Formats: sequence, structure tokens, C-alpha cells
Amino acid sequence: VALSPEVWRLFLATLGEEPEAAGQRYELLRRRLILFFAARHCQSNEDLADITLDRTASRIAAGLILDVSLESFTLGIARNVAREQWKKPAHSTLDWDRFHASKLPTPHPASECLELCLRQLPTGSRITVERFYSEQGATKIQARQSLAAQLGIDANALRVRMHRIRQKLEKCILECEGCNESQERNHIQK
Amino acid sequence: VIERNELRQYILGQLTEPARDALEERLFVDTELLEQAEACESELMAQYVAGALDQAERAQWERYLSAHPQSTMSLERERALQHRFAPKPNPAREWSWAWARWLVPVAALLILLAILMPRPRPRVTSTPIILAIALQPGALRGSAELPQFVTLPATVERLRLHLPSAGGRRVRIRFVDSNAIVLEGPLRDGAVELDAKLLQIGDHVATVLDEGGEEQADFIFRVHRIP
Repeated sequence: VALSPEVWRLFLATLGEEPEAAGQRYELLRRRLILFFAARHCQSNEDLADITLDRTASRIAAGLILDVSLESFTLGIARNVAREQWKKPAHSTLDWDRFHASKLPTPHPASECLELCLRQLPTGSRITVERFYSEQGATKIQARQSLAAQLGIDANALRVRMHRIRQKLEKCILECEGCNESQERNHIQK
Repeated sequence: VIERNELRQYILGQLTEPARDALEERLFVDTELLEQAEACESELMAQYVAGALDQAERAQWERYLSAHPQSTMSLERERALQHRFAPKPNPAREWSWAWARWLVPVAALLILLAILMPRPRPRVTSTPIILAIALQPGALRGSAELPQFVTLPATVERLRLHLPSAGGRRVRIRFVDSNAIVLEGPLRDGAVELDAKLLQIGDHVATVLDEGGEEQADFIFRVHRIP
């Protein structure tokens, strides 16, 4: 059941006085929930994250006074949602073998978008990606240590930086592919 | 302090229930830890695609991924990236036999030419040795091997870099490690000539600018020196 605008307004007000700050806190909370449900191997973790947020919002709108942080309260709700999920049978319809590198000699067809998005990265990020992926085998660990040292960061920070670059690339590729698809549709319609 | 291994075990479902609950309490208040966990997730994805996970980890990671079918997109992106940067086979090896069979006829032809050609009188020249190289824009070459190398023999005194870019008027060359500007000057016929000694061993970025000083294209290359 969709929540009413009033429930959302109250929930966002609990998240923060400024809409932007409230939105950011909401997104962080959602990311935490997505990770939470994935780590518990619950199916459809994004849907479960949204269900948890809806329940939290409803409780707050019902006048609940929080004696812990909103995040801790949401974690408690998430644990209940996860318990409910364990009763349902788990299933996966994905053929994992098709993603395994050793069994996949062919590249992904979206390489044009990948090239475009790599070019759009700032120079520093492009070089980081190139160096991160270029080394293979035994030299890889040393090469990554050396890359982290050159960037003046530790290995953990390099992992976080690479994660952010990957996210940026993924967003760009999604937009690029969406753009290509709509162009193809327009072409067919014409 | 939460170790990377603990985050990894959390994601793979290897932690005991009390340890998992304790970690979750922290994940819900510590944003830096959340970022580290997501980075750990990315790393597992990369190792999975590269076939670097053992059988048990692989099964656990597939269970983890099955929780969110949207992850197939991240898998595809990781696959494409790894394929993009995978070392290409050495073309020299592939062609070794092809050119070997021409060795004898070419050698014979050269000997014949050496005998028949009139010998030019030796002359002293002061023309510097110039190496000319054409680079492609972007950090990464399309289908060629990575990265773009500029190999400078010790005898080369000057380097001519061809930087194809429509509307390019000037070029700025920067040494990536120190961010120091090596050269800034005009681009003539899409090329710039510079003293080879100006380039250090390592990565450089040549940025082509238009008349208004706007950046048109980046050409990234790695300098090697050979004796």
C-alpha cells in the first residue's frame, strides 16, 4: 500500500530539517538496508529495503517517539522484515555461469558506452582505473600497493576510490545505453 | 577497528550471529564503514568475474548476488572493464613465422641492392635525431594494447608528437606524478616538437586547447627510455 504524502512529509521531517539533508540521510539509510538484506541473502533486497522504510515511516507518522537513533530503530524493523522473509522459499533464476570470466571469451556489447564513459572520467580517475586493471597475476598486488602509495592513500582508501569510480562508470553506462535505446526506438518509429 | 576480512565475511554470510549483529549496529551509524563495505562488495564482484574466488566463496557470493537481480548490471560492467584492460596477445609472437619466411628473400634483395647502388659520399650532419609518434586521444587506445607507450632511445634528441584534434591550437604537457607542466606551446599542423630530455619516465598527459584556451582532448602516454 502506497504511503500518503502526509506520512512521507512527517518521515522526511524526522530525517532532517533541510530537504536536501533529509534526502541524503534517506538515501544512506536505504543503502544500509540494501546491504543488510543482501548480506542475509534475502531475495529482492531493494524491495525489502523499501518495505522497511515504509514501515518505519508509518510508525513515526503514528506518533511513535524514538528513544534510539532513527537508524537503530530502522535496523530493528529490518530484522523483523528479514525474519518474515526466512519463511519464504529462496530461489534464483539467474544463470551464474554466464558471468564467470573463464567461461566468457566474448566482451560485453556495450563497449562503445564503456569507452565513452571512460573518456568522460577526470584524467586522474582514468589513470587510476587503467593502472588498477592493467596488472595481472602475481604483479597485481604490488602494482596496486604502488598505485595507492603514489596517490598518497592506503589500500582501503584505494578500494573505496575504485568503488566510487565504478559507480560513476555504471551510472554513465546506464545513461548512455538508455540514450542509445531511445534513439533506436525513434529510428524504428520513423 | 573493523578489518576488511570481517566485512568480507559479513557479505559472504560467514560471520556468527552475534558478530554479524554487532557489525550491523555499526554499519547503521558509521557511514565510512558503509562505504568500505560497499567497496568490499565491488572487490568481491571483481574477484568473482576474474575467477579468483574459491569454490565455497563463489557459492556464497552467488547466494549474495541472488538477493538482488539488479546486480547483473554490475557484473556486466565489471566484465566489460576486465575485458577492456586485459593484456592483449603479443602481435610480434603471432607474426613471427609470417615474417620469418620472407627473411631469406629480403636479405638477398638487400645484399643485391648494396652491391648495385652507388655509394654516397659520407657527409657530416648536425641534424638532430627526431622521433615522431602519433597518439590517440583519451586515456585508452581503442583496440590497441594499453597503455600508449612512447619509447625513447638514448640517441633521440627531439620528439614530435602528433595529437589529432579538430580546432586544437595549443598544447600543455603535464607529468602526472608531480603534476608539473613539462611544456606549454603552440600546436602546428596538429603536432608539437619538444626536447626529449624534458620527458621523465612515467605517465604524461598532453592536453590540446582551442583558441579560447578550452580543453579539447587529452592524450595520455607513458614514457619509457631504452639505452
